[in-house]
Amino acid sequence: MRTIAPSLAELLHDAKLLADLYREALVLIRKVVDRARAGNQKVEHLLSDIEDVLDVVADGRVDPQLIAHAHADLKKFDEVLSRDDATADGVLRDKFSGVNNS
Amino acid sequence: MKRAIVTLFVLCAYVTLGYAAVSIPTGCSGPSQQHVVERAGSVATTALAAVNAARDNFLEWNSAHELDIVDHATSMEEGTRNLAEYRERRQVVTAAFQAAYGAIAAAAALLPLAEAGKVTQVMLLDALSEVATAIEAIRGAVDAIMEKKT
Repeated sequence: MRTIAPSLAELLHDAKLLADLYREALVLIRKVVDRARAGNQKVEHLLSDIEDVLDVVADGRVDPQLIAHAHADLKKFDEVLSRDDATADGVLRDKFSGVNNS
Repeated sequence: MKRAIVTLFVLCAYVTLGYAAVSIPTGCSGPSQQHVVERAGSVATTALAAVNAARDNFLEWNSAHELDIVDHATSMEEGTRNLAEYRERRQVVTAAFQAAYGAIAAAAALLPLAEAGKVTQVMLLDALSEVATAIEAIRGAVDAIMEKKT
């Protein structure tokens, strides 16, 4: 189950849509497993766990506020970094081109 | 810029303590699942505030540092090269922030699962542990880049 946490993090972009897609994939996987398995409890348990997770994600029961904040806060980090990089690049260009924008 | 490092240290310690506050009682099988989930949610929220504070401090330092690089450049080529080198080294910091935000989101996603009894308290604590580790990684990365500079 330790691998579920990063998987959920990856679902942040559009959790419900991805959950639906994963659910469809799971149905197919389950059919394959049902046909091929000979009572492998471990695989069955894993699938059940994944389905439980997908149920919660698809039903929108995850904490939307905290997740949305984490997502937005990371986005802000990237945006400010890009803006400050552009500012520094601009100041450097101005310094050596003699252009004064003030 | 020592302020940023100190702030990070304090916030990191706070989140780590919060993690401990959740984990210690669960070992005694005393508190209810609901109580553990509430505490875990509180720790995750605190962690987000901590990472945001660290982010704001780092962004402030980053902006000043980039302008400092430009200020000390004696040619366009030198400035461009030094900025590029700094941004290359900065990737460790940005990766640490990305990991921390991802870990917080993942922990938040596990909360309702834990509340519903679909994941164990141990799994929830693992997720919080990863948050604490990610915050520690931010501190290490920020310390390293601030001390080295360019």
